[in-house]
Amino acid sequence: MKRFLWIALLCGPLVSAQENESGLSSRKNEVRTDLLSTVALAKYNLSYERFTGGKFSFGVTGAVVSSKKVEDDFEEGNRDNSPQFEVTPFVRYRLSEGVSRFYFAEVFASANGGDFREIVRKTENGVGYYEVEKSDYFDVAIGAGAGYKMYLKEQWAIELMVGFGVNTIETDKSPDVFSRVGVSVGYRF
Amino acid sequence: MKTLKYLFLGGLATVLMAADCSNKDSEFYNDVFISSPNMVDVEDNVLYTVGDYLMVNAYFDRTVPEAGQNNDIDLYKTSGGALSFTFSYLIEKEIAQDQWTPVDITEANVFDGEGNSVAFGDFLLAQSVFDPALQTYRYRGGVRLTETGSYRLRFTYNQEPSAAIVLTSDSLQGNLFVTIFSNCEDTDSAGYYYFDVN
Repeated sequence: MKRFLWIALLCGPLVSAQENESGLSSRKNEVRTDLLSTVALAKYNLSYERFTGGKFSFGVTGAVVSSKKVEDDFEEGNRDNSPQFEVTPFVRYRLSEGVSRFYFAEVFASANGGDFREIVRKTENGVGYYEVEKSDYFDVAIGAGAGYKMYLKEQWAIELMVGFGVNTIETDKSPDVFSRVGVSVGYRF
Repeated sequence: MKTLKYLFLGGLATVLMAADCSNKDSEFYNDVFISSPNMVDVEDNVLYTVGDYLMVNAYFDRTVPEAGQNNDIDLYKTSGGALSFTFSYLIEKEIAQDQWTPVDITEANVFDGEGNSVAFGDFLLAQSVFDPALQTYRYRGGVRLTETGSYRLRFTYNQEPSAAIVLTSDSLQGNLFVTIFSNCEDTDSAGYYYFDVN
């Protein structure tokens, strides 16, 4: 999946996109969804981004995870957490001069949570035993990323993004790495 | 602009590598490791002759002492009702001064008493099987000694010789897998039980 992303990222500038910067500049809002995460990870997501008119933009991504594979791995003990949701506000800085094709850098914070499992020792009638105990976790990840975005017909966005962060609160329960990798399509209005 | 792109690609490569470096989320979380003493023993004969069996026993209750805890551990409950615990042992023959070679163990030479004994050539796989009536795991098996010579037995096949005996629960998928580090009072500090066959 990462190899595909690399190829897509490198080939991105070769794809022609219609340049009409004044048209784009007048459109300040964008909604998009990350198809890669949806297909590969069953992470259903929606992002909103607001463009300030300068090089900065900001927005938020919401996602819920409903992956049978993750759930099965969690139940079988192949992983100790099962992420369920993410709410990720972000701020971006456009690094290129053009507005129809550009690289960007991003910082984000993500409130994320899910299920956690651990093996605990208990005692019943004076005899000990171990069993799996499940609980919820909630954490806040801080991270950064970068990506490439291009527009078709001044409205349709295609975006490649790679980023990661680290959780900061319940680090013994939550995933070590919070990743923000995706190939998104969106609409700017 | 080119420099900027290269900086980006370098940064992205770093991000990808960092994302790959974490392995906390790729471990196995259904393992329980405990230590409990003296779960296996050798039926100690003063003198072995050709045709005798070297017998090994592994009888233990579903509840056994657990090192570092102030009460026993229920193996059956912890393992989700595992019907057996498996361990292995092998016999080596001294072919020259301090030179030992594994004895080939065949099914014909295995004594299959209680539990299960399965010959795998260089070693024997032993299963101590749960007896619901007695609420104990039970194994008694052995290997027929077919030649005279000096021998030694150890319980650490496919790993460095040690006094530790590893018994693992044959748990069904989804239940906890219990690994017990135990020992045998009949072996020396290196994990060997030495004997001669006349």
